[in-house]
Amino acid sequence: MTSQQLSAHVKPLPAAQDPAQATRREPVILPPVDIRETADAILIEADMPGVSPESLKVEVADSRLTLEGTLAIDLPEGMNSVDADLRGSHYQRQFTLGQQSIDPEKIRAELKNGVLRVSLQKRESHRTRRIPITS
Amino acid sequence: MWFDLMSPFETDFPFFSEIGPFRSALESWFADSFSRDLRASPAGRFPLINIGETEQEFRVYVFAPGVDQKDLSVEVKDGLLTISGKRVTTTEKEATVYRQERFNGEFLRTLSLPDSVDPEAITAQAKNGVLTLILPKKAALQPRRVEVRAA
Repeated sequence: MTSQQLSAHVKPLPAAQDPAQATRREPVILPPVDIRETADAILIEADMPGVSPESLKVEVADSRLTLEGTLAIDLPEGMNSVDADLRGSHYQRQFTLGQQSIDPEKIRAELKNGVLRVSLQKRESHRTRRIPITS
Repeated sequence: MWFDLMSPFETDFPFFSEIGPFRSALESWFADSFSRDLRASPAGRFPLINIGETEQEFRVYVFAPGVDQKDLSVEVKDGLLTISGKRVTTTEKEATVYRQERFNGEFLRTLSLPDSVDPEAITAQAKNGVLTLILPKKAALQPRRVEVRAA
């Protein structure tokens, strides 16, 4: 991917010094996710490095799950960007949830070492049940 | 490639579907790049690295979420800074995988250091999945202010 393509969807690192950059609409960083289903839950893991627990938002509204967070890293004053793979400072990704299958009251989220793990418990009716076989 | 087999954007997976502009944005980003493999995260590599410079130092930000400290190594040799390690993302055995975009496996990235960096003075600290390397410049090469005295 050329740097030109990269800059089309991502923003240079310390934009503050450059007024032209500051006014440009800030693109969103789309965190890569793994999604897995087990017998009783759906697990989502998202890479969100640099997001503090305070800025993290995991929200369910209208059966829409939103993962959001702000990249906060310590930038010394007067620093110029030399090279940036990651541009932008706001992570966001949304998913629609199956209303019948997920229990919105039982969603747990954990942020550890820059990885967000969200566990969505399935409703009882949608769990895999193993039926004992008697001989 | 799993992308072709599962075709996640067209799936009628009962629990999830991605919505809104993100879906089309994601598709368009990858449409004209190297491949449509989603494991290629935004810039197609892991870990992502940002580099900044001030008058006194360089800073290298290594975005390595979920990498245990013991699995991460930073080495300086012959003017090269090498960041290597591994990340294992899969934990549950009995699970159906719907998406696997996150990097899984061993990684290595090498940066060539400018001559102005003092390799002995490099320090590293990790927080929230970001490793920050501070590379001070050699004192002799830092800008100096020359005082002008009145005659």
